[in-house]
Amino acid sequence: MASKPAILNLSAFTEGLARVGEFGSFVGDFFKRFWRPPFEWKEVWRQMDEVGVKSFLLTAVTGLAIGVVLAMQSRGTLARFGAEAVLPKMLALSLVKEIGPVFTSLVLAGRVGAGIGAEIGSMRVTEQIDALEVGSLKPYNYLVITRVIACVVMFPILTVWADAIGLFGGFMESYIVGNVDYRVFFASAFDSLTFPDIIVDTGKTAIFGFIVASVSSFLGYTVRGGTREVGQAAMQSVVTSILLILVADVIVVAVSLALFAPD
Amino acid sequence: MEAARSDETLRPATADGHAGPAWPLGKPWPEAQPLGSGPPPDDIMIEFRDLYKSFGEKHILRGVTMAIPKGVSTVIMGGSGTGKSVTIKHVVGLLKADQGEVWVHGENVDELSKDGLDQLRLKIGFLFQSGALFDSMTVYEQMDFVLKRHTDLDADGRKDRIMETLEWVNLPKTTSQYPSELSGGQRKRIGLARSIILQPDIMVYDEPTTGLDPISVRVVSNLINRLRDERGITSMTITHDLLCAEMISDHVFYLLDGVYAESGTLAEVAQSDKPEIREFFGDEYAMMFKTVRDGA
Amino acid sequence: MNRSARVGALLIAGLAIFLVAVFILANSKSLLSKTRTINTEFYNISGLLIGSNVQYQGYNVGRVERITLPRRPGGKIQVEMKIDEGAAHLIRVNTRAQIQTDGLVGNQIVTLVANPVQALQVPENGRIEGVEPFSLSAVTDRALESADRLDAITETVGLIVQDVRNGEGSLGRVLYDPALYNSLNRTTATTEQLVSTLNQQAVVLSATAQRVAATADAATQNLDRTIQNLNTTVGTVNDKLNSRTGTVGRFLNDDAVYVQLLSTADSLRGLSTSVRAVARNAEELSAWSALGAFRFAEVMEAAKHNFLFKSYFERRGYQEQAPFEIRERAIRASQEEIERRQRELLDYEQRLRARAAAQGTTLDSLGGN
Ligand SMILES: Nc1ncnc2c1ncn2[C@@H]1O[C@H](COP(=O)(O)OP(=O)(O)OP(=O)(O)O)[C@@H](O)[C@H]1O
Ligand SMILES: [Mg+2]
Repeated sequence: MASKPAILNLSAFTEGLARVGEFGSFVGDFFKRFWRPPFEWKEVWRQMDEVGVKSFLLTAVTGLAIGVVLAMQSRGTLARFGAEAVLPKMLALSLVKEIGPVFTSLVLAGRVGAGIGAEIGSMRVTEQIDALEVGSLKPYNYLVITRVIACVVMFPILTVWADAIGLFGGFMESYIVGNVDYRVFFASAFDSLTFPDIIVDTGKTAIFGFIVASVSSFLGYTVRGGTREVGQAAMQSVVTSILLILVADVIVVAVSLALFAPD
Repeated sequence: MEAARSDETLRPATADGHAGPAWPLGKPWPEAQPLGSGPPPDDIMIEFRDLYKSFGEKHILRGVTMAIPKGVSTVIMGGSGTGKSVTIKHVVGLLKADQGEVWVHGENVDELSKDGLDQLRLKIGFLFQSGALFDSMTVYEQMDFVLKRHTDLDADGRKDRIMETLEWVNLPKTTSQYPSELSGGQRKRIGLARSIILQPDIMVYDEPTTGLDPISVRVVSNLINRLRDERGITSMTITHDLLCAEMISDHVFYLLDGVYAESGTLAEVAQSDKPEIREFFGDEYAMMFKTVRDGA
Repeated sequence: MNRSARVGALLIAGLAIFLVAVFILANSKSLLSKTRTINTEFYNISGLLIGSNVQYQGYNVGRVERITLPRRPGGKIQVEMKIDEGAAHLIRVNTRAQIQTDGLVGNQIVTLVANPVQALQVPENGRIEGVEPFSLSAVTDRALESADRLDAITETVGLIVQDVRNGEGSLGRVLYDPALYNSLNRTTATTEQLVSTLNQQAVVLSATAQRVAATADAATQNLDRTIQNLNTTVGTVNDKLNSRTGTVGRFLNDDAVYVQLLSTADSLRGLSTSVRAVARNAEELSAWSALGAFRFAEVMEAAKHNFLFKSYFERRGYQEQAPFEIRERAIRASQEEIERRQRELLDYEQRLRARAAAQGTTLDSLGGN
C-alpha cells in the first residue's frame, strides 16, 4: 500500500520524540535525585577510577600525538610566511581551545560511553537493575548519578592533562626541529591564551562529560532484550554522545563568543 | 553450634516471635476481595484483584485474581512465556498493572509513593530467575552493600550476618569471588542468600531450582521450607520443577491464557480436566497422585 | 597503588596543572600586578584592538584597555593603555606612542618610542603624544612631487647657466633683468625648502629602497650632496650679486663659480632621475607586497575554514571579513611592516641632518668670501 511507508515513518518519528522525552525526564531525574541520599561516594570514587585513571593513558597518548603532529603540520605552513615564531601561540590556542577539549571528549566518548552503555545495559538485561530496585537500593543513584559525577569531574581533568601533554609534545617537536628554548616556547604559548580560553574551553568538557554519561546511562538503562540490544546500546551511546558533543561544542563556542567577545 | 546461633539471629519475622500460622489444612482457600473494596483481611499477605497487563499488542495477564494467606508457601506453575514472572513482578512494583489491584502487606502497591514502595520492598525478598547478582561486586560485597544501606549493624555484625546467611545456602567459601567466577547453581544460591539477608516476611522466588542438580534442588527446597517454618515467611515460588513443587507447595496456582485457571494442592492441579495442564504434568504424574489418593 | 591513591593523584595533579596555567596566565596578563593608566590619541588607529599589546622598545609592558571614538568627525581616537608599574618609570612625557603591525598575522600593537632627552615621568592617567602611522603611498606621492619640482628647478638653473654662458649680451640681463634675478632668487628659496623636505623624504625612501635596491641609498647620498652644491652655488651667486662686492668681470672670470653652476645643473638632472627610480622602486615594493599579501590572504582564507584554526582567526577578527577586506588588510599589514623598518632609520636621518648642519656652516663661510 502506498500510504504504508508514511505511517511507518510517522510512528518512527513519534517514537523518536517519545525517546527524546524519556531522555529529558531521565536527565531531569538527575537534578531531582542528585541532592538526596543515598550519596554513593565510594562508587563515585570507583567510577572516577574507571573513567579517569583507566582512560589516562589513552588521553595522554592522544594529547601527545596531537601536539606533535599539529606542530609538525603547522610548521611547514607557517614557515612559508617566515612565521614559525607563532607556532607556540597557534599550538597553544588550537590545543587549549578546541582540539584538546574536543578530541579528549571524543576519545572518552568512545571509551567511557561504550563502557557505560554496555555495563548498564547488561545490568538491565540480567535484571541487576531490577534487583537493585527491589532491594530499595536506588539504582539511579548508584549507577547513573555516580557515573555522571565521575565524567563531569574527570573530563576536564583529563582535558587539562591532554592539553598539557599536547603542549609538551609540541614543545618537544620544536625543540628537536628548531632547538627552541622552553622559556621562549611556553612564554609565547601562554601569551596567546586568555582566561576564557582556559576556563570556558576546559570547563565545557564538563558538559561533554555530562552528555556522555547521561546519554550512555540512558541508553543502557532503557535497553530491552538481550546481548544484541546491549551491543547496540553501547554503539548508540558512542554515536549519540559524539554527535551531541559536537553540537554542544558549537553552542558553547557560540555562547562563549557572545559572552567573552574577543575585544 | 552454627545452627543454634543462626536461630538466635534469624528470628522469625512475626511480631510475637513465633512463626505465623500456616493456612490450616482443610480450611477453604480464601477468595480475593472484589476491586475497590479496600485492604484485604489481615491474614491475607498478597492479593491480586482482576489484574491486567499487556506489552504492546501482547496481552499477558487478563484478569488475574488470587489471594495468598500469611505463612503459606504457594507455587505458581504454567507454560514458558505465559506471564508467571510478569505476575510476581507486580508484587514488588517492578511492573505496574494496566488494570486491577495488587495488595501486599495490606497496601495497594500501585498507589504507594516512591518511599512507601521502598519501605514495602524491604519486607520482600525477591529471587530473580537469573540470580541478578551485581557483577562488579564480590559475593561478600553485595551482601554487605545491602546490609550497609538498610541496617545499623557495625562491620562485625554485618560480617556475622553475611557468614551466617552464606552457611544457610551452603556456600561460605565464596565470599571473595565475583559472580562471573561462580557456577549457575552457585549464583542462584548466592542470589537466594542476598534476598533473605534482610529477613523479609515475604519471599518471591522465580525458578529457584532451575539448573540445579537433584541434591541442590533438595537443599534449596529445604531452605524454602525452613524459612517458612522457622520464620513464618509467606512465599510465592515459580517453578517447573516437580520435585521442588512437591517439597515446598502448600498451594499451587496454574497460569493459563492470562488467568490462573487452576488452584489447589499440587495433586488437585495435576489432575485438572484441562488438557493443557494435563499435558504439562503428563498423564503418568497425574495418575500417580490418583493412585496415592485412591490408596489412602 | 590503590584506587583512592590513583584517583587522588590524578585529580590533584590535574588541578595543579590547571592552577599553574591560571597563575601563569594571570601573571602574564598582569591581572595580578599593579598598573598605570596612560592615554594617547591617534587620528587613525589601524585596527588596534582592546587587549592589544603595548611594547616599550619591543618589550611587552602592558595592554590597550579602552578605545574611545572622538566626539565629532575629524577628532582623534582616544586610546587608554595599562602599563605595568614595573615599566611605568620608563614612560616619560616626551615618549611617543606609535601603532605598528606585530608579525605576520597583522595584529596591531602600540609601541612606545623612548626619547633620550630627559623628561618627567608620565603620571597616572597622564597623556603622551601619538605618532600617526605612516602611509607608503603618501610617501611615494610626495617623492614624485619633489622630483617634478626638482625638474623645474633644474630647468631654471639650466636657463640661467645658459644665459651666463651666452656671453656678455646676456650678462646684462643677469645683472639688470629683475625677472631673471627674481627667478634665481626664487629658485634658491624653493631649493632651500626642498632641501629640508627631501632630506626627510630621502630618509624614508632610502629606508624603503634599502629593502629592494641599493640605488636608493646612493640616490639619497647623491641628492644630499647635489642639494648642498646647488645651495652653495646659488648662494654664492646670490651673495655676490646682492653684496655687489665682486665685479661682473670677476664673476665671469671666476671659473670655480661657473663650473660649479654647470655641474649643479647636471647633477640636478641626474638627481631627478634618481628620485624617480627610488619612487618606482618603492612602488614596485608595494606591488610586490600586495602580491605577497594576496597569496597570504588566500592561505588565510583556507586556514580560517579549517576548524582547527577557526577560533584563532575568529579571535583575530578574520572570520567575518570578506576576502577583499582581508587582502586589503594584509596589504596594509605588509606596508606597515615596511614602514616600521623605515622608522628604524630615525637614527640615520639624524646623522644626515647633523651632516647637513655641518655643511651649512661651511656654506656660510664660503658665502662670506
Ligand atoms: N518488560 C517487558 N516488555 C515487553 N514484554 C515483556 C516484558 N516482560 C515480559 N514480557 C513478555 O511477557 C511474556 C511473559 O513473560 P514472563 O517472563 O512472565 O514469562 P514466564 O511465564 O516467566 O516464562 P518462563 O517460564 O520462560 O520464565 C513474554 O512473552 C515476554 O516476552
Ligand atoms: Mg519467568
